[in-house]
Parts: sequence; structure tokens; C-alpha cells
Amino acid sequence: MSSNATVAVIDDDLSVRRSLARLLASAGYEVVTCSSAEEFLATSGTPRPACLVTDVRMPGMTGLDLLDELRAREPSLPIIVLSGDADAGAAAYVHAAGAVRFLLKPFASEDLLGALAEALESR
Amino acid sequence: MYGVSAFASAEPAVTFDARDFEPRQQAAVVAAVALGYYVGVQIGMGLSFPPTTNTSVLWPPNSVLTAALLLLPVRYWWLCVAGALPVHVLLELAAGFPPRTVTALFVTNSLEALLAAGGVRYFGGAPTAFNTFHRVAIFSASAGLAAPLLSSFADAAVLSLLQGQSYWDVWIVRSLSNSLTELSVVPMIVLGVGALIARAPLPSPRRLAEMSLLAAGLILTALWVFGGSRDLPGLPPTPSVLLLPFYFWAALRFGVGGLSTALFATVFVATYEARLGHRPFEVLAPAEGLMALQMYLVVMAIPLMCAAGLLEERRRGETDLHARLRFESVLGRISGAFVRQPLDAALKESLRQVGKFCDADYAGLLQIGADDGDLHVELQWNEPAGAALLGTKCVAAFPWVFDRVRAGETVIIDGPNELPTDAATDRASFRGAGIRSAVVMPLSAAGRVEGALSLAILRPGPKPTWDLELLQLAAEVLANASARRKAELELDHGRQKIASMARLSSMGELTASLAHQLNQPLTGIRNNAEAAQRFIDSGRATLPLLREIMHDIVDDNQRASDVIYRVRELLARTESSPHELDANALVQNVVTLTASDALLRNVRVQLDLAPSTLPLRGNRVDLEQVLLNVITNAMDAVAGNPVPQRIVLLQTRSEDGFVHVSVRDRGAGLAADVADRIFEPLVTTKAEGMGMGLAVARSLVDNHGGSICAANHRDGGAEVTISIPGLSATS
Repeated sequence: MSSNATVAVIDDDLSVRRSLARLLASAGYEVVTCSSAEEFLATSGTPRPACLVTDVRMPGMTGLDLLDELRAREPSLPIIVLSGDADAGAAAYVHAAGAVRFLLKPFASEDLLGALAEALESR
Repeated sequence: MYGVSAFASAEPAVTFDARDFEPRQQAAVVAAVALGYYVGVQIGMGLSFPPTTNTSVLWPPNSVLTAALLLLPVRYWWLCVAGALPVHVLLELAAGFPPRTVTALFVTNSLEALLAAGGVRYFGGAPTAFNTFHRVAIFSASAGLAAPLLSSFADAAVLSLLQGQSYWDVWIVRSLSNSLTELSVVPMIVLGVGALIARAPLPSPRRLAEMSLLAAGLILTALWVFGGSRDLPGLPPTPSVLLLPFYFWAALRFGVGGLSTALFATVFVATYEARLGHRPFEVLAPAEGLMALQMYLVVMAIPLMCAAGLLEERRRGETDLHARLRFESVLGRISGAFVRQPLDAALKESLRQVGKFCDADYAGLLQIGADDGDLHVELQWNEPAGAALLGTKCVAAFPWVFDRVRAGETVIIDGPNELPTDAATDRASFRGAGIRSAVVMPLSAAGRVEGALSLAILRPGPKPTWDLELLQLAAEVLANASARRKAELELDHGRQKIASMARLSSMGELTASLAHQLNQPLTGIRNNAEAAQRFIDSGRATLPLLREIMHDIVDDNQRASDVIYRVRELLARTESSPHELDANALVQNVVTLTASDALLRNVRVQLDLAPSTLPLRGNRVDLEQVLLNVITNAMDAVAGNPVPQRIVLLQTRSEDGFVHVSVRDRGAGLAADVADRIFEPLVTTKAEGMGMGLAVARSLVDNHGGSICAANHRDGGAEVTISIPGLSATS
């Protein structure tokens, strides 16, 4: 409820996407949603999001691919990665690639909102 | 008879040649010979003509001796002398003959029997059988002609020297009488004693009736011919031709034994009538008439007897041929059963066929157990009478028998009394179950006894003749089949293990995919619920918003429930019985299960399904397992491709009564050396693969009567086609 910062949500699953958007909205964020990494990269318009929340497992470009891509393009953009798999390798990779947080689905809302607040503060 | 390893000959005649007699049995033989000789002398004296002389029309004692020598092994011939000599001496002395004559006549009588039996044994080979032309001809020549003619020279010499009778008169009278006696008495005694020893069953009522009719006809005709015929005017002087039809009847229908009995009866009647003063032949005096009759009967009997032997031979040949054909049809049916039916059913059918063929009441197949090395009953067949044996623990109940069988011997037991004294348990079991006869054969594979075939007869009846040749052949077929059955059982056991292993491993793969599928709705539900709480807490909640959130939560819950439902369905082992299934639905179900896996690997699964349903009968879990294995393989095969080429194409169609599901990938295809072996266990193209997936798939498809094959598609990539027999295809 602190700010009206914009958060982008990328998930191929409509239900997850909608629920995330609602949760973030309930916390006072502006939310833009994309159903794929490609779609997000394509919409290069303004306003640029202050933070990115992305799923890992998606058809086409995965969340990890997107992470690599954005590290080169917008190193300052904080990214929170969500995953259904407790894959230690992926978690380590996410941290090494500079993402703020790796969250296992399903997660408590405080975890996501806390990570988001942290990410926006460090910005 | 027990412990036979070689085939018993099919010779029906009884022979004692191989038998050893205990002292008790030797005494019985002596007594029997003595009694026979005594009866023979009495009959001979009764048939003497003219009544007060010692010239007999029929003199049976010599033939009694001949029959005894034919029945007894040569090493026991002395028993005949021991039996006959005292009777001969006592009776002849009592009849007033001087001792020298008595002794000399015994020597000549014995000489006749020796010549007769010796000739038959020397030239014929089967002393107690009259069932071939050859045997009967040799009997007629040795016993019917040579022996009486030759021994009568000695007879004539004795009587002319010691009694002063005319040499040639004695010779001719004795020759005729002895020849007729040999022909009419010996076959009667030998065959009669043989039937008694073999406990031959009584003839059928029809045959008994025919015998009575023949006997009555013969005796009445003989009485008329030899008694009253001369009173009828206009008849030719030799009415004895009227008896010929009866001899033909006897010879053709009742064989050599029947003919010899008929001859005996004729002589009896003729002598009886002659003693009443009637003339056998109108123009001759009674004594000459009887000699003419003797000659007539001898001359007629020999060719007729040979004809009877020939006929018997033919009949036996036909019976053998018939038995052979039946035997071959049984073998054919047994082998056919193994082609047409599953192994267990074929084994059962074979047992039934063998049991029926042998007229047995019980047939059992035993196999050596893999774990304990003991024989166990695997399959059995029985007639109602054989039900008593169904619960029997064979090896425990018949230890003596099965010890021998395990040593590779075939055991045949006709009743408990044939078992030796050290087989007390077997004896008791035989009595307890009421077994009349049993045969147990080892089933050997590669020189080792792997099982046994046992047959038993419980119904009362005569001693059976087991067709050992058939049993031996059947045992070989059964030995092979039961070895196969054992191997299959072991293989099946292994296959089940492998199948459940593969199921587990693919379940492991599926779990990750299912976790993901459950995660999505769970995440949605939690996010939505917490968002709603926040909106409410902050007072920004509106009713439409909350309604929308609730709606989404319910939807997600449904999604999660669907996943659970599908998992439960996949795991349902209870659904082991075949159901009517639709191949299209199966494919769609498995595609849904693997959807998230495909998503993760960026594999596009394209469906080209037949427009209508493709009904088939099968086990859902098994077929889904097959599809799962094949589709997973296909996705693995394209994993290395650039994303746009990660395509798996699933096609269903119905053709030639089969439902075909093909799974084609755009991968590298199969190497030539792998394509042939891809369905064998432990053959894999994957670095971390176990090589079980397709082997399991094949065994599951086999169980559905279908086939699975893999080939390279002409447009590249591999194509696996699963074909299952369809149910009355609708397209």
C-alpha cells in the first residue's frame, strides 16, 4: 500500500496470472500481466515496471531464459522468480543471475509481498 | 508286471516263458497236468470203439501233454512228466495192461507231445497263439500231422511187439486218432487256460448267444447226421457235409479255438451214436465209419484252421490299424491343442485325450518344484470314478512308485498285490483309493526327470493293457510343454516385476509433472484467498470483486480435483479386467497427463485422431502405460531438436479390424542395429535409460493380442505403431 509502483507478472497460466494480479492489486501495486516472456519483451512501452514477477516453466522462452535476457538489457530491474519445482539447481542459478528472490509455488502472500517490498527498496 | 522300461509287445497270447514258478506253483502245475491227464484218459476210454477195445476215436492224454508243453517253459517240462506218469501208470495197470506195455506206451505218448510241442516251438515261435496263418500252419503240420504220424510208428511197434497186434492196423488207427485229437484238443486247452490266466472278460451277451446257437445247431445236426439220417430216404450216403457250415461258422467267427471245440463235440456225438449202434456213414460198418469220419475231419480241419488263422491275422491287422489311427488322431489332437490354445488349456486337453484314450479314470501331470525339488501335481483330469484321487498327495502316498519314476523308470501296477513287500505305504494307498491299475511315467527333458505323467483306473474290470507307445509319445509332448509352462511361469513372474518397476519409475517421472499441475491451481487459490482477505481488511472489497474471486477459487479447485482424479485413475490397479475402451479417448487422456511435461520441454504434441470412436477391448491402465512409455520416448527423441522441430505426432486409425495408434517423432530416427531389438529388455538408446519401457510396452500389448513395432518414417524420425484388435469398428 506504500506506492503505486508498477509490477509486471508473467505466467502462462491464466488462473495464476489473475490471482497474482489481484493479490498485488490488493497490496496497492499497479499490475501489468503477460502470458509469455516473449510478450513481455515485445511490450517495450512505458511505463516500465518497477519489478518483474515471472514463472519458470512456460512454453517457448522460460523464466530462466528471460532472466538471462534481461540481465543484459536492464540489469537494474529486480526480478522475482516463481517455480513449481523444488529444483535446487534452478534456485542457485536464479540467485547467481541476480534475481532477488526464488519462490516455490504455492507460497504465502507475505513472502511475495515482502520480497517485492525488499526489491523495490533496494532499487 | 512292474518296472518296465521297454515297450511291452502287443502279443495278446499268454506265455509263461519268462516266469519263474515258486514251489507252490510248481506243485499246482503238477496237479493240473495230472488232473488233465486223468480226465483225458477217462474221455479217451469213454470214446473207445468198439466199446471194449483200447482203440479210441479220440485219445486226449497225449494232447493234454502237448498243451502243457506248449504252455510251460522248456525248463519246467519235467513237471509234466511228474504229473502225467503216475496217473498213466495207475490207470493203465488198473485197465489190465502189463507193466512193460504201460511204460513203453508212456514213452510213445510223451514222444508225440515232445514232437508236437517241440515242432511248434522250433518253427513257430509263439507256442500259445493261434492268431496268424503262419502259426496255425506250423501247428497243423507239427502237432496235427508230423507228431501223430511219426509217434504212431513207435506205438505200432510197441503194440505189435508186446501185444501181437497188426503193425499197420495199429499205425493207421493211432495216427488218425492222435492227429484228430491234437487238432481238436490242444487249441481248446491252450486258449482256454490262456483266457483263464489272463482273466479275460466274459464274451458279450450277444456273442454268448451266438455261441449257444452254434453249439445247439452243431450238436442237433450231428445227432441227426450220425443217428437218424439213414431213416430218411433219398439222402446221399455222406450226410456229414451238413456239418460243414457249422465248422465254417465256428472257424470264421470263433477262430481256431472255436473250430477245435466244434471238432471235439462232433467226435463226441459221432462216437456216442456209433456206440448206440448207429453208423456214421451209411455204407460202412461203425468202426470203419468212425475212421472215415476221423479222416474227413482231419482233412477238413487243417485248411479250415489255417483259414481261421488267416482271418484272425486280418482282423488283428485291422484292429491294429484302427488302434493306430485312433492313436494318431489322439496325438494329432494333442499337438493341435498346443497350436490353438494357451499352454495351460492345451496341457489339460492333452491329459483328457490321453486319459480317454487309455480308458483311465484319472490322469495327472506332476512337475518338479523349483524350490523344493519335489514332485507336485500341477494339472489333473478325472472321470467321476477317479475323483477319489483328486486330493491325494501322490508322492507321499506312493513313495515306492515315485522313487522309481524319479530314477527314470516307468511303473505299471495292476492292483496292490503286484507291489513288493517293501512298498507298504503304496499298497495301503492303492487299496484305500481302490486303484485297479495305474501307470506312472517320468517326463524327462534333457536327460533329467522334470515331472511325471500318472494314469489310473478305478472302475472294476479286467486287467487293462496300457498303450505304452502312445503314453511314451504323449509323455514326450507333455514333458516339452510342461518345461515350457515352467519357463513361462517364471518369465511371467519376472515380467510382472519389471512391469511394476517400470510403472514405478514412470510414476516418478509423472510425479514432477503432476506436482506442477497441482501447483498452479493451488497457487491461484491461495493468491485469490489472500487477496480477498486484504481487500476486505483494507475496506476496499466490493461484492462483485469478491464474487469474481470466489468463482476463480472454485474453478481452480476443480482443476486440482481433475488432476487428482486422473492420478487415481492411472493408479487404479483394481481395474485389471478388460473393458471396452476408445483408442481416441485413451490417447487424449495420456496426452493430458503428459501435457505439462511436453510444455516444459517445449515439445508440441499434434493429434491426428480418427473422426469416430475406435472401440477396442483392453485394460485401461496397461494401455495408458504403453502410450505413456511410447510418448515419453518420442518426447525424449526430439529433446535435442531446435524448438520448432520438437514435434510429436499422434495418429489413430482403424484398419483391417485393428485399431492402430502411431506415435511419430521428428527425432534422429533409429539406428539400423537398434530398430530390430528396441523392444528387447535392457536395449536402450538413452544415456540414462534402463531399456525397460518398450519391453514392458510390448508385453502389455502382447497380452491384448496386439503388436507393437518401430520403424523409421520416410520423412525422418521414428514411428512406433501399436495395433490392438478392434471391436466391430464403426468407421
